[in-house]
Amino acid sequence: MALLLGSVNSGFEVFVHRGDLFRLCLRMLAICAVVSVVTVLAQRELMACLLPCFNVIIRLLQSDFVASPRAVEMHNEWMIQMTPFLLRAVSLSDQLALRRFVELPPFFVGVNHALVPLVLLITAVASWPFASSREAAVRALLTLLGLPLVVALTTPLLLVARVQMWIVELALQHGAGSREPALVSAAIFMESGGRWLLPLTVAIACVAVSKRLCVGGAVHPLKGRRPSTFARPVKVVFAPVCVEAVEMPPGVR
Amino acid sequence: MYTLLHGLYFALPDPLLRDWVHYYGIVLPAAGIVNFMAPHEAVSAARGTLQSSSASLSIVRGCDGAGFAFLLSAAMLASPARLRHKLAGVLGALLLTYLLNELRLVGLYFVLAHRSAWFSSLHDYFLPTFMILAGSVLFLCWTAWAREARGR
Repeated sequence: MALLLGSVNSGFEVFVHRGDLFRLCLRMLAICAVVSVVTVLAQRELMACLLPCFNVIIRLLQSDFVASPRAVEMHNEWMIQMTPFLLRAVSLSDQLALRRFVELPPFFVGVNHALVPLVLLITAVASWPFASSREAAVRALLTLLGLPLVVALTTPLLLVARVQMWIVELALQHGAGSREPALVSAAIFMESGGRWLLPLTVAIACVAVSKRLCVGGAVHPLKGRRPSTFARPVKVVFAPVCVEAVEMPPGVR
Repeated sequence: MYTLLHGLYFALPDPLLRDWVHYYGIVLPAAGIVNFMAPHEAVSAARGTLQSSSASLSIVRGCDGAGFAFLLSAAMLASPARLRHKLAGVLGALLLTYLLNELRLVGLYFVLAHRSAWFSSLHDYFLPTFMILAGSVLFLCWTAWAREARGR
């Protein structure tokens, strides 16, 4: 969370004073705990909302197969199951191909695994203090806008990549050489840490943009609060390649 | 920065990573910790696997906390701070990653051996989230320290 708020830091600079550290850490911990528990308890309902999105994104990512992912319970654990149905022949080598209109074996991803990026995004966005309810509302709206990106580049990408990896392995078993498809490379990047980096990056963008839009406007950022480091006005400057936030002296709006 | 570190990590050949880095750096110490804590487990380190009569935990590429370390290191390297503070931060990040990851593996071994139903939730959900949270706390502390030092 805070990682981001400094990491994308080709400019977004975070100023945290020692006195504020403890409060911010506690706040992060509390929000993360609440979001994690709520997400675990509501994973089935969350999946019901997300699966149609997964389906659309899977169709956008490739055109070889269709699949309607669904949530199934296996060994007391909720899994996303996807059974691809080939719409076109997929060639494995010069002589070999998978026929069209056949069903491939099912592929699975744990629901818990799918929810981690969402938990990180919500925790990161909610943990960084906001100066006013307007800023909070703008940040929430921006988070909703960023959510499809996080959803698209995590679980649907992984599911598609698993199918493509299966096809590559099949080709190798039949002696055909095969290159790693681009979506598989992307999924490997996401699975080895990109799935944490992405929600944190989206979160910092949401925090920076909400500050840009709200702080310095009509809403006083310190309304009813002890003027902590976080609540002080922050000037956010957009450059072509970076976002830069500079702390303003107290009293400057 | 993160992509560069990721690329370098994936350039490491599998045998080097499994037989040297993972075996001597991660699996062997983890087996030692488990055997120290519970000698009756009689865990052995076999290449990239923690093995005993009750569980077998494989450590493969990605289970070494590399992604977490890269995230934290990239954040510190990209932050505006003096070079020595960045280097100290990266060193701290690597140390934290190593300690947390060893704890994670030892914990996961015990969970797999004695409460296997909990394994998936811990491995996929709670532990990654906890590690990112711990990394965030370290990053915040480092930011405060680096800023104060820069202001002096």
